[in-house]
Amino acid sequence: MQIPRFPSLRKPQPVPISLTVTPDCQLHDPEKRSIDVPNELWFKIFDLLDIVDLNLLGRVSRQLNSLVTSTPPYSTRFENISESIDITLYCLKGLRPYYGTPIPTVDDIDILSLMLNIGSVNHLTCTLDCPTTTAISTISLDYRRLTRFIQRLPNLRRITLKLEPSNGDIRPSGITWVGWEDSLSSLLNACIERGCTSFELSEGNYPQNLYLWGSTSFNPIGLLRLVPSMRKRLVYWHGATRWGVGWDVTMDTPLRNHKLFLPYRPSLMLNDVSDGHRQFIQSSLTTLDIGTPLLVHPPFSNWTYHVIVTTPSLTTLAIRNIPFGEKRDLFWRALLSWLLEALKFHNVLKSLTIENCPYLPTERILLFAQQFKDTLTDLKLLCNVTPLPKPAHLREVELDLPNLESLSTSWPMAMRLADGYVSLAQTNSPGARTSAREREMLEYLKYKFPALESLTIDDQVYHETDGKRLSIFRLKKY
Amino acid sequence: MAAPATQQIKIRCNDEKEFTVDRDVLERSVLIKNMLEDVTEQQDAPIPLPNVSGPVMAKVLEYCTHHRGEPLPSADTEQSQDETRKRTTDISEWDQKFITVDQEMLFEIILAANYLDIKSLLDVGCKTVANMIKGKTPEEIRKLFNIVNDFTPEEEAQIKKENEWAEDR
Repeated sequence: MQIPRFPSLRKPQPVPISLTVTPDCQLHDPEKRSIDVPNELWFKIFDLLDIVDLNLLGRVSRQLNSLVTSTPPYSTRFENISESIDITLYCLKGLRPYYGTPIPTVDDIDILSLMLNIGSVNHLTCTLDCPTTTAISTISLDYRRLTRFIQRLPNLRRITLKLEPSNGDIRPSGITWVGWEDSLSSLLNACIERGCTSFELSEGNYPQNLYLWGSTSFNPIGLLRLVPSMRKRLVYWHGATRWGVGWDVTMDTPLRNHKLFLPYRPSLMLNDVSDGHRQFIQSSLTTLDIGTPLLVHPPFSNWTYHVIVTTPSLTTLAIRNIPFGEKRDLFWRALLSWLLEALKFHNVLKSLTIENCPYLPTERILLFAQQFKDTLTDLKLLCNVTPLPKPAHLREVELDLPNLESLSTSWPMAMRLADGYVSLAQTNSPGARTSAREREMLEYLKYKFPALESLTIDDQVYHETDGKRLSIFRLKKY
Repeated sequence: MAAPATQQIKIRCNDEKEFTVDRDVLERSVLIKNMLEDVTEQQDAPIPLPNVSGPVMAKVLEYCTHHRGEPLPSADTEQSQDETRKRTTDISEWDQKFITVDQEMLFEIILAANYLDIKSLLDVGCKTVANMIKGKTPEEIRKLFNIVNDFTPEEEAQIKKENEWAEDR
């Protein structure tokens, strides 16, 4: 394992601990006596300092540097270097509502005083305060510290960030965020740059009976600083559209299902902003799991978009819990539109999951999946919804995914996939799951997706075990 | 039978300065306490303390007199104290006033406390030094303790770069 260039990870020279050995500090002012403190006493003093002061002390002289780096937490970080570590940090300062689960007891962790081998940290879970009006300066300080901490974790592969509003932020009028904090942008960017292969952003835990509602206001300027090239875009927006129209997302929109829900403005469709975005730093994310509508709304959608276009290795995309209903078909269109554009930058999507959405614009989703014909091997459409009839103005989408190996879906969706090829007339209940239809369905799907190895319909798993099915297959169109 | 609390003990410092002190005051020092326990017979000869000078001993005795009668930390409480003490550098008002001395004397007191094994005094001294270091830049620390910067500019830049992640307060 390569030891990174970081003093805490550099094997320190052994320092003799003796009452007779004194620091070999030269005289700065010959008139004044230099301090004559045995190492043992220095260690006692170090014990009373936090790592920030220790680091500064280590920059005073060689002797002190050698002493500092031989003490905990520096020296203890060498233990168990071969093991990988998952660590969880609570950096919460604000008061929390009652969780129903044990409340994190550490309310003010100095994340930098961790006494562990940071070289081995593999998965970092960190719960942070939202950037809210209360104590914004201390929160941004935490963000900055965490950012720098992350930048020093050589083996970090997974980061889970949880942003939680505190009690003070939840008022009858709702949650007030002061906006997108610069330091949070840097933090997210650092996560990508560190080469994390998985990223999660969650709003944290809320008690089930807490009803959050009201307005949420964001200041997107900080977000735009996420990448320098986005600043241009800010100027453009500022000049080209009415300032505040695109960005003023203050709305009396309820927070549904305890998720922060922001209205989408079609005027901000992100395919408008793709030009000039080709020179980004590249991340090595492989999985983007969008579990919250937060990430597909402006201004967060900008960040999501940016993450995708700067990630050439993004092979797994999951979209969950998107609450756009039927009346918000337009939102789905916009979402799929900019997701498609972002993903087409690299065109390597292998796995697509759409889960737990109350409404799915089936034809658009299928069209979306069809765009990744050459690469898609795993498709999960796990929304228990009955596909709508095809809109008259859309051409019929026939999925043609020659490399699809794994398909998970619901029965209604499977019926849609096999549209016209599975008999509807066998029983009085059109579309019901009968064994005859199931057999037809299997045969059709195996025909349709020649590489299919695993099929799951409503938790029932079919494996390719019976080669005979193909031989009895006769494609019928009803 | 235990010696009466009023028993007077003589000590002699390295500058020949002698003090006559109540035994319970001197017993704040674990070193002297052990010495006294080892000596069963009454001795008139002063106890030599070759590592402590007279002025420093006077300060140390001032501390011991003020804190006489307080229970000595046992090994158990010492450990739990160690944990609570960690990173807390609060010093009581009297101690703070007591330790407000010039730097040379401060370090002399720390060394004497270490030699005489007076844990509470050593703690006060170390906390004071820690408080002096807290929040200071390397240059300020050098100036404070009269230390020469022996890093090459390259080394200094390198260390600064490596550590800057932790320097945000």
